[in-house]
Amino acid sequence: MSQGLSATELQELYDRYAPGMYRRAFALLQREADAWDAVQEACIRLLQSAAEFRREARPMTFIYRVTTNVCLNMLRSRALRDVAPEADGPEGTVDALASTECRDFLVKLARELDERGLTVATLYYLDGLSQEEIAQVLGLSRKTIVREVQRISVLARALGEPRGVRGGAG
Amino acid sequence: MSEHLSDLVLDEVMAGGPQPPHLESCDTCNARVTRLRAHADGVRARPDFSRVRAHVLSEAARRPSRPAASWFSGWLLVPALATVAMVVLLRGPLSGDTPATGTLPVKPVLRVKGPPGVELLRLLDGQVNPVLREGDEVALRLRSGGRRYALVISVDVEGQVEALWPSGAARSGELDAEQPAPLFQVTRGDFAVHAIYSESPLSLDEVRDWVPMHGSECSGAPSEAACQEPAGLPSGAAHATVSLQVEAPR
Ligand SMILES: [Zn+2]
Repeated sequence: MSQGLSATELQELYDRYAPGMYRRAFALLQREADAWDAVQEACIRLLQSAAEFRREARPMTFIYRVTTNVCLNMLRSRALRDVAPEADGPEGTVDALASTECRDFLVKLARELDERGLTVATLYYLDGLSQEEIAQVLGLSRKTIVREVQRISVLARALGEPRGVRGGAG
Repeated sequence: MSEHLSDLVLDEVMAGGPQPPHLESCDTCNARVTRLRAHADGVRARPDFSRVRAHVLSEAARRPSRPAASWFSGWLLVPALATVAMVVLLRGPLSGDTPATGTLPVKPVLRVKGPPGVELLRLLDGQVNPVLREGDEVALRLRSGGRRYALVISVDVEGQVEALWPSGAARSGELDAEQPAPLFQVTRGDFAVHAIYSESPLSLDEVRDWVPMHGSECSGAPSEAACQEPAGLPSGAAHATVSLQVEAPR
């Protein structure tokens, strides 16, 4: 187990990645306290998977994957309670309106999609990643992602895809 | 989106990755990087950023030992620190403000085997028992040698005794129990931290007078008899101490 993170490394990783984790978590969860819980949980997973993280050719894909998983789990677990979003001050979210609209849309999608489908939908609609990038983040083949996006698009049209969502590149 | 860079790429740029050529010529993407950067700076400035950071670090320190990081040792860490709340460890000559107290709902857990010990870990850099600066955030690390209870106190140069763990308590805390962990931020002055481990709880009054008389006996040799079965304490008790200096802020 020589691949754990030292305290110094961990601090450095936190300082580097936590702001982005928070930005994405807030976009999905729309509540400050929940977003910080997600950052904390994602960092603990990073700590637990230090060896895997070190092997990552593109570390940011690992950060995206873990943060997205943590947030979607949280979103799912509180979906029934349907918590109202809170305003988060001027520096809360980067794409305020688009992100609220997009998040509501994802909550709708969550009722119809399996875990993988929802993760793909999040990276596609909320983060605006290309299918190639989604494939990298999830460690899946490009072909699989193309299929998933097709499936999701059909569903999205049926649910009334909002105009504000950014949507990924082809 | 297709012709512009994704947030994934822009996040990589902000994390110190290579600059894609597209960024040199695209105002839209440049503007977004600027916006994302400003957002990230805002996030770093928030108290929650430090709070979660401290929590993650203390979580890491509680994990089992790993060669890559010697401070992930078999020690019990009582998580400390905080921007949101603190216990003032010592009142420095310049400190006129009222100390706030607070606790984190973190359980310190585990009765760690091995000779009894006590250490202070500076969160900024993970240094153990360094010369501290006023305002440093520190975590307390305890090793009870398998004993069930601990009482950790600080004694300043004037002989003022304060219970650090359990915070402000009048008697020992059980190491297995869920105890809120104290938060420490040090203020200027010299002080000693004493940990007294025992099989049954001791009261602060029992050790208040004992400690100043037995201050440094086992600081350098934690496995000596004086530390394992110190005279004047109930049988089975152990004592460990560390002396620390806190200098002016950076
Ligand atoms: Zn561009």
